[in-house]
Amino acid sequence: LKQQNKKPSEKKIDPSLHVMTLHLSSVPHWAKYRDNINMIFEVFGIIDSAVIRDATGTHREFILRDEQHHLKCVFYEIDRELQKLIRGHWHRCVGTYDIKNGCFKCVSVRAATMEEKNHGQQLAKSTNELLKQMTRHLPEQ
Amino acid sequence: MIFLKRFNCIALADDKMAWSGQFSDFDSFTRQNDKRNTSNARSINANDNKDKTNIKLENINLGYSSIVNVVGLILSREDARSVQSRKNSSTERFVFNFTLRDSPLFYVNVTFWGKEQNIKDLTDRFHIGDVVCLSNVQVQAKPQDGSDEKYKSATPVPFCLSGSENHSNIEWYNGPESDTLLQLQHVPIKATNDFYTLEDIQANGQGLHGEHVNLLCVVRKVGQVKEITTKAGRHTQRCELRILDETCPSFALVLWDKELIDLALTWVPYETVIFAADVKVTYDDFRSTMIATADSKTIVTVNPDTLEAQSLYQFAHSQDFQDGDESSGSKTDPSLDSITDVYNISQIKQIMKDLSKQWKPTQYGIVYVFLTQFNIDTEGGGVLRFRCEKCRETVHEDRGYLCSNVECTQGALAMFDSSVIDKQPVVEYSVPVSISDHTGTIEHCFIDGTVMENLLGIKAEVFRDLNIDKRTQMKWNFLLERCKLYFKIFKSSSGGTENKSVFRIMSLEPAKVQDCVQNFIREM
Repeated sequence: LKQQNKKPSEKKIDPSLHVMTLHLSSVPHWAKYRDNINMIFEVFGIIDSAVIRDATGTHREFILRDEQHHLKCVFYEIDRELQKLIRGHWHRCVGTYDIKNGCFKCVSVRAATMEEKNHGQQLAKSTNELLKQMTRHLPEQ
Repeated sequence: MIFLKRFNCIALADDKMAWSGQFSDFDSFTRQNDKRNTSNARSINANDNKDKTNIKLENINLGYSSIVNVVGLILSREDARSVQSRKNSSTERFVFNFTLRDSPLFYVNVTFWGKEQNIKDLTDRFHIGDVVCLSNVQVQAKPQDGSDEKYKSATPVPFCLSGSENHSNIEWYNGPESDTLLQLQHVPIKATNDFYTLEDIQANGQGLHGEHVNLLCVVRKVGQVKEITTKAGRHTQRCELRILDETCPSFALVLWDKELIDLALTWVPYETVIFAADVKVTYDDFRSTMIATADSKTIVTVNPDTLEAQSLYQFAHSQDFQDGDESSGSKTDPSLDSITDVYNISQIKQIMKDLSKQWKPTQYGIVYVFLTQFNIDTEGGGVLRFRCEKCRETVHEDRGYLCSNVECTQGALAMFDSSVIDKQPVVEYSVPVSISDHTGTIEHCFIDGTVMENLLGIKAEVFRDLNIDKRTQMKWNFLLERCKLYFKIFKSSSGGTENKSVFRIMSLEPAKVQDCVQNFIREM
C-alpha cells in the first residue's frame, strides 16, 4: 500500500470541500474553522424529539443526541420532503453548522445502518485527531 | 522577403557570373545570355547530360568552378514558393529549394528559380529520396554571416547551388552511381551519436526553447493530417507524430510540410526509426511540455543504418507499450479484483500533478469517497449524451440529433431523406460528479456508460424517460453517501488535453463503513 502522506498540518489546507465525520459534541467547535477549512459534517445520533414543522412552514426541526450531547437540527424541504423519522432510532445527518442560530442544517437525513452505528464513533474520533493536526498552526478560534 | 535577401547576396557574391541576378533575366533567353553561356561553359548543354562530366561536391572549388553538373540524392525539399521582385512588385518569381547529397560527408542547398508553372512542375516531379542530375547550375559562395542557413539546412560546404529554368536542368539520374547514392538515404547527416534523448530534452526544458537539435527515435503514432491556412493565406498541412525512445514513451513531433508528411504517412508505428537532424524544440505553454517541430532546416533520415538505431529498434520491439498514454486503453486495464491500493483524494491530486509534469505509467487505485455533487435530476440534460448511431459522434437534441460529422453518411443522408432523422440516436450516461473525502474534493469527474448503469441499475434509455421526482429520489440514494471508487489516472495523448493527466472512474459502488474506517485509521 502506497502511503505518501505527510502530516496534514505541514501541508497547505486544500481549499476544496472536506467531508468530516464528527461527534455531535465537537460540531460547534470545528465549525468555527469554516474560514480555514471548507467542510461539511456527517454525524450520527438518536432522534430525541418530535420532528416538528416550524411556524413558517419552510423547514422541519428535531433534536439529535448521543450519550452525552445533543444537537438541534433543521431540514429545509427544498427538492424533497423529509421522510418519516422515528424518534428513538439512530440516524445519520449530513450538513453544515449554523453558528449564529446554533443549529445543524441537514441536507441529508436518513436512518443509520447498524454498521454506521457501530463504526461512526470511531470515525469521529479519528477525524477529531485529523482536525487537531490540520488546525495546529491556525490561531485559536 | 528572405529569398529576396538571398537573391541579392547571390548577385553580389559572384561577380564573375554573367547572370546578374535580375528577375528580367528569366523572361527571355537573349542573344547575350546565349553568348555568355557558350563562353563560360562551352561543354555544357542543358538538354543533354550524357556527355558532360559531373563534379563531386567535395571537388568544387569556389575559385574557378562556377557552372557545374552535379549528381546527388534529394535529402529534403520545400514546396514551391513565390517571391516578389523588390524592384518591380508586380513581378513574381517562383523558387524550389532542396538539399542534395552526393557522399556521406557532403551535401549542399540548391535553389531553382523559374516561372510558376515550371517550378510547380519540378516540385511535383522531384521528391525526397530521388537521385537527380543537376546540369548547368551556378556555384555561389554562402554569405559569411550565416544568413543563408537561417531557414535552410546547415551544410558542410562553403557554397550553395543555384539554377534557373532557362539555363539549368534537373533530371532523374540512373547511372553507375545510383545505387551508392540511394544508400545515402540511410546515413544520417550528423555523427551517429549526435542526438538528444527525449528525456534530455524534457530535462533541459525551457533552456532548449527555440534550439535545433537532432533526435533518434521510433515512430509511435502518425496522427491525422490537417489542412491549415496560415496567417499569410498560404495553404499547408500539419501532422503530429508521437515518437518514443528508450527514455520516453511518448513525445510530440510536429510536421508542417506536405512533402515530409507524405513521407511520414509511409512510416510504420513501432517499426520505423528516424534520425531527425535539426528539429526545432520549443516549450509548448498550452501543454506545459517540450515539443519538437520539423522546419525548413530539418533533414530526416529514415531507418538509419547505425548501431544506435538498431539498438533502439530492438528496444521498441522488446517493450509492451500497451498501457501508458493511450486514453482508449480500456482493453488493457486489469480486473477490478487485482486493484488493491487505496488512496485518499489528496494523494490522487498529487499523483495527477506529478503525472502532468512527467510521464509515468497508468496508475490504478481505490478511493473511498462521498459523492458531493450528483445532479441527475436537473432540468435540461447534462446527464445523458447522445451519439450518432453510425459514427458515434456526439449529437444534440436542439439540432434534432442530426449528425454534424461531415464524413458520416448519416448526416449527409438526412439532408435528402427525412426518414433518416427519425432514427434514434444512441443514448448513454455522462454524469458530472464531485467526489470528496476528509482530505478534499475532486470536481468535474464523469461517470460514464456502464459504470453509471451498474450504479443506478437501469439503462440510459430507461433513465431518459424518468420524471424529475423519480430522478430526485434516485439521486438521494447516492448523493452524500459513501462509495468505493475504482479509478485510473493516465496521461492523455489526445486533443486539447494532451499531456494533462486524466482521472477516470472505472467502477463505483456503495461502500461498507468498516472498510472506510479501517482505511482511515491506517492512514492516520
